[in-house]
Amino acid sequence: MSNNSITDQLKQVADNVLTEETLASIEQSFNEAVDGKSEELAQLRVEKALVEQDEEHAIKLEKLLEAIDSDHTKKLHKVIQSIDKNHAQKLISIVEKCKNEVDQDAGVFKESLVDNISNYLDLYVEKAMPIQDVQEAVKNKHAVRILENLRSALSIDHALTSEQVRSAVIDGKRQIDEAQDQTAKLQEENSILKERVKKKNATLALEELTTGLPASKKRHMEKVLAGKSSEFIKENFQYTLDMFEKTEVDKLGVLKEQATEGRKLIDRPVGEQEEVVQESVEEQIAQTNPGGLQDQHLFNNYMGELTKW
Amino acid sequence: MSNTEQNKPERKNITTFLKHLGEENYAEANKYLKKTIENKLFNKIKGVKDINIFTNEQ
Repeated sequence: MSNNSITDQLKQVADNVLTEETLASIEQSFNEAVDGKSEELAQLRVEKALVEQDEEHAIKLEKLLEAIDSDHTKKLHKVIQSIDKNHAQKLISIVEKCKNEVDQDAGVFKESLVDNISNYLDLYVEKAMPIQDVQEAVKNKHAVRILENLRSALSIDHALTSEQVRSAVIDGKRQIDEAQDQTAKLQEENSILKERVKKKNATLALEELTTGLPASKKRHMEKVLAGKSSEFIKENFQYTLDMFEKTEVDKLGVLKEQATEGRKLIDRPVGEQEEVVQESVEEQIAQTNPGGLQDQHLFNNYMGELTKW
Repeated sequence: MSNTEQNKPERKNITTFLKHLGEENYAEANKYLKKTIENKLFNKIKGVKDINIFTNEQ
């Protein structure tokens, strides 16, 4: 507030014109007018500031609300998504469980229904066709079939059903059996006779071939070829004979050598005789019976050599 | 062989019969019902088939 009040200014301008009371009233009215105006202006400024602040706050609030809204929206979306997911999983598991339960129940129901229908059909079939009837029918059919098979197996027809024909068939069967037995016996006898003929032929062939041979050769051939077939004897006779002759020649050569060596070394009396040692079956045979079937020359040779010892 | 395995075709026929019955396909249902009954009769005859007529057993 300035130091020069309106009263002082008026006193300076018109000191003698206005009284103190007038000046006081003027000052009062002036002051009242100024105060009123200043109050109005202040009021206006405050209102303006308030309006501006309101607007600013409103804008800020709008922004804040938008931010809060968007944040809440995002959060709500997330919450909704998670709830949806959770609920969807739960619903899927519930659906699967329900499906399994329904399937299981349906399966059990189906099985029981099938069983019931099957049992009902069993009872119905049993009632409509008793088991005794079926057994009887089966037996009849079975018997008929067996009889047919027997007839075909035994060749029995209407012609064979009479007693005379049957006895004739039985007699024929007996005759066939007898003929079969006889055939078996004859075959056995035939085989025995064949065997005998074979042996006789072999003996005969051996006899023919050994005729005219010396006794030792003959005995050797009979011993070697005994029990062989006639074909075998004919084929191998000459070979066996050659082998025997070769062996005999070798033996004679050995004996001659021994005899010539012994004559030079030892001079023993002729009358002294020692017991002959028989070493082999062949030598035994050759020395036992020199007079009959054996070779006399060979025997004399052997004995002559032995008497020197 | 168990009874269930023995009646497997029979059960299948009954199931098919029920299926066709549910679909109101009565001709097919009748066919499978016939098959089931034939099967039952066959089993029944088969059960008494192995007999020896030369024995006195009843």
